[in-house]
Amino acid sequence: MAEGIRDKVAILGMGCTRFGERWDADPSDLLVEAFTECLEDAGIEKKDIQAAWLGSHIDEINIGKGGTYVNAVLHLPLIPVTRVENFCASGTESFRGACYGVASGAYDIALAMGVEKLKDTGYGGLPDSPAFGQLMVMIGPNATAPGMFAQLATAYSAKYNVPMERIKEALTHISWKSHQNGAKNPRAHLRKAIPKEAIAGAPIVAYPLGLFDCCGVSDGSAMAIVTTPEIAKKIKPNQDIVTVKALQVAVSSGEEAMYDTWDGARILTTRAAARRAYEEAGVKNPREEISMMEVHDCFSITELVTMEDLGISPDGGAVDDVLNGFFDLDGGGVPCQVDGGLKCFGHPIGASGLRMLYEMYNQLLQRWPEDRLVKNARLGLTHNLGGVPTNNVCSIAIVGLLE
Amino acid sequence: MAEYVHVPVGEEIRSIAGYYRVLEEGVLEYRRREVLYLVKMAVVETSCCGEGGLGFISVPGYLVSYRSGRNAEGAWVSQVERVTGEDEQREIAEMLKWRHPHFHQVDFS
Amino acid sequence: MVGISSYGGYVPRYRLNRFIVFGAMGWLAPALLMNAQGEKAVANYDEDALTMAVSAGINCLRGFDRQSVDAVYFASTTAPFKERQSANILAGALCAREDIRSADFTGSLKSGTSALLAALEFVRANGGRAVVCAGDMRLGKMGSVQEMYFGDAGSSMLVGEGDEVIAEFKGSYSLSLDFVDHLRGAFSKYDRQWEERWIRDVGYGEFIPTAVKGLCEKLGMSPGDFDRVVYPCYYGGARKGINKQLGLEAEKVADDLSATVGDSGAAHALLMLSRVLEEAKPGERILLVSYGSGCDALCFQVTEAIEGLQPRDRFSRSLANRKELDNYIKYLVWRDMAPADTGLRGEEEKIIRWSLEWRNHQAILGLQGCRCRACGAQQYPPQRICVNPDCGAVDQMDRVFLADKGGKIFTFTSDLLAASINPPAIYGNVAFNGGGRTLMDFTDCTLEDLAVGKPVDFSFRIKYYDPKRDTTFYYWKAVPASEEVG
Repeated sequence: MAEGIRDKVAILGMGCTRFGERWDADPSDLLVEAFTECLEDAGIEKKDIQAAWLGSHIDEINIGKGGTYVNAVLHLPLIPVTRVENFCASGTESFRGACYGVASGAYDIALAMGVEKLKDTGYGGLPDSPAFGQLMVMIGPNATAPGMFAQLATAYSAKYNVPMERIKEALTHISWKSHQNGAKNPRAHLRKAIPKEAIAGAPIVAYPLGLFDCCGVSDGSAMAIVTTPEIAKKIKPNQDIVTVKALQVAVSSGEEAMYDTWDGARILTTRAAARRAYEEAGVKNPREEISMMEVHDCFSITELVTMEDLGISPDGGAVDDVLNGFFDLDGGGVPCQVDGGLKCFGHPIGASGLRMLYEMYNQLLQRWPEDRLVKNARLGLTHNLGGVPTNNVCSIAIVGLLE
Repeated sequence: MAEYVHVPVGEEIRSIAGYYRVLEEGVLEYRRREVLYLVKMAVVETSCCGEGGLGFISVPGYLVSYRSGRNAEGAWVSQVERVTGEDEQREIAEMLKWRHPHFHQVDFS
Repeated sequence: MVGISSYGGYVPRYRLNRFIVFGAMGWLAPALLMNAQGEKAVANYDEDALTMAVSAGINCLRGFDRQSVDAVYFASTTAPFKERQSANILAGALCAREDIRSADFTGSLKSGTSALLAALEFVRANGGRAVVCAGDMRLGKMGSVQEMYFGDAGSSMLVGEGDEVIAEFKGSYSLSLDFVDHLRGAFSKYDRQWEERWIRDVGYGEFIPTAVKGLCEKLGMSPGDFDRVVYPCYYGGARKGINKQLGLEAEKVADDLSATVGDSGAAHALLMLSRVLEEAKPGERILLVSYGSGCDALCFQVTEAIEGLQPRDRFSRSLANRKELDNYIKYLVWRDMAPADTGLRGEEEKIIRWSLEWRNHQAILGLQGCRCRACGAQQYPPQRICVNPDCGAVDQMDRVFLADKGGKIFTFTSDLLAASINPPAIYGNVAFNGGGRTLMDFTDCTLEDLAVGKPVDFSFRIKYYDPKRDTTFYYWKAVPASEEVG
């Protein structure tokens, strides 16, 4: 019987660039920026790193395929560099690879990287990247991500009989909260609080999602160096140790896209990954035990249903929790998107999972200023969702202080 | 009765994916009442999956009192009565679309 | 007995008021005012001659087993390919068998009736059933007379034998003439015509009476023996002359649909016939005459079986499904008559991989899915391992036809960011009646027409056009159903 990853791996150091439209930076600049911070935080030398994993999503721009570009930049001394790609979960997948490398005993110290340089396409969006086979490229709708996620809202409204106006009100609150939090964060892509009426007054991009319900396109990189708790204690005898409590991934089985049972108002992969993650981490009551979260708010509606999928809100109850401020930084509940989330911190796809862990790690070590610190945080949860509601990958990580 | 907090005309309101701007604040006569409406233009320039621009019109409601106070941030506030009836919404939308061609979205919420 | 067993018309939803064309182009061609009455049917941006022929064919084959058809004929002067047989695409969309006869009829506006004659002769020689589907989407230059009177439509006739025949074929007479009133070279986009008075007086005015007289002589009849007379002729003056010359009573002569549809080219004679068959009564004799590079004249007699064919309004229902296209520029952009900027994203290429298309051609052209023998779950696209999480049977699938099953909207959205020549892009998840779901584009609708649970039909449409390789790719879209489908 597998016993899981809980407390077998510690985070020794982390780094994260400023996210944004980095017209000033090549992917190499982003990598160097994150790596320098990460190595310094870990308190080790480059030669101590024995293996590296790398997450990135888009092949057509950014670093291309494989890990060769990255190591031609960082010059890690002929160690394995393995590129992983799994949509928006790519960063967390890279972290999972490094953690499993350490937990297996194959390595003492491993590096997990994520990098995405998107602002070189010449237009606002992202290139199409066929992900459901070439048949679907030919016959599938010319859909965009907002259009696909917007359908969660229509299905949610129908299933729980919640009027669209009330859902819109909750979505407005979700965006407002991210902007409040992002405004305090010097590394966030967008640092500006926005009044609720300005959010509610924005146009519909894909019914019923408005301009402020959508995340943007950012450049950035984030990294983690992981090791065993024993080595971490030796290197950092006077510091709290943050360990990995759970790492779970779930991928759609075709049930959502082709079979008749899915209700369209929830994400099945998130539910499966969350159930397994709580079991792995020994969490019995997530609403009480999880201190804070960074979830994949690619769209406000995704964040709304994720609160139910993670078991933080009861089914049909997320709208009330959101509007009661349960997920606000100072709402007395479970603060969510404390760094601004995808919507304000930004979303360089392959780096996002590690960026979320970077926030949880620094919060757990109480490193942030008072105005954006989550008090007495013990457990932080990160969540990525790649693909579309009918066909996706979900990754969940739980990290916490070593008791 | 509802409040409408005035957004300054011409100012860019930015999200991570783009921005919008109020181009014009107008009043429409409808069945001997005055309907406040806003003509807006949005540009989605860097959303994660596309880009585009669109014009849209929001209708805060029938004017009860125009710019009768200011809120805590100092913005003008008008009192309005929301347009809720399906027929009045349809007729007002048609009149506004006639005045502003290619503005397909008319929002009453 | 050999004859027509069923009929179907298809008029695309958009209608362009001719006065809008005049309003835009009258500055250049003031004489257009003469033609600026009524409206013309306009194919949607995702329709062409072939898709309209498919829609008419689906309409025609309602109530008939698609697998019983032994020949599929397509007629058009605006086929999407010079090489790649349209009739086979049509047969695939209709879910006909593969061991059938197929042919494309083209080159003249009488190709619709030429195809019908070939079908009648096929059934007379071999028995069985043959279906004819015609469609045309001809273009006139901006501000031309042709732009005014051409309309887009599709029409279809099922030919069969025995008791199912609703209109027995009695005989035909054909005239074949290289009379060049209209022409389009192999690389021309727009129709070019000679002087209208000549077309009217010599073309319609002489050839139609000649063909009718030839047929009557052959069958020992006189024109007055017919209860219903169908012939296309856009010129009102010429119609009066032809009726007078043949001694036809005006009320027996079918409306030429110029005020509601326009001249739908190779599809027009059969479209007018489908309109006439809606009201025809047993015993009545019908004269059908086509026009273009000569004439085909055909005689039918309506049988008792027509009372049993349901529904009868297979043309009128389509004509009644109408929405005004109030924007002439939109029409020009849809037809690629005016270059529009669709942004850098619109320049992204979708390559059609023909080997992949062939492996999946039944799923793509015929919307064929599969049903698991072990658990009964219907699914699309066809799977080898059953998608039911409690089943998972391997290679236990039977083929199912989904195109005529209809479905219900499960989720939907209207997307302003997706690159489209007709924004917003509307798409969503559709649940097939009988089980299974898929993500699909919606067409012929606006956001206001949609609601979760609302029934949809499936319509064969252009998925995209690749201008660099001059290739059209077809697939199915969901259209809100005008009636509850079973």
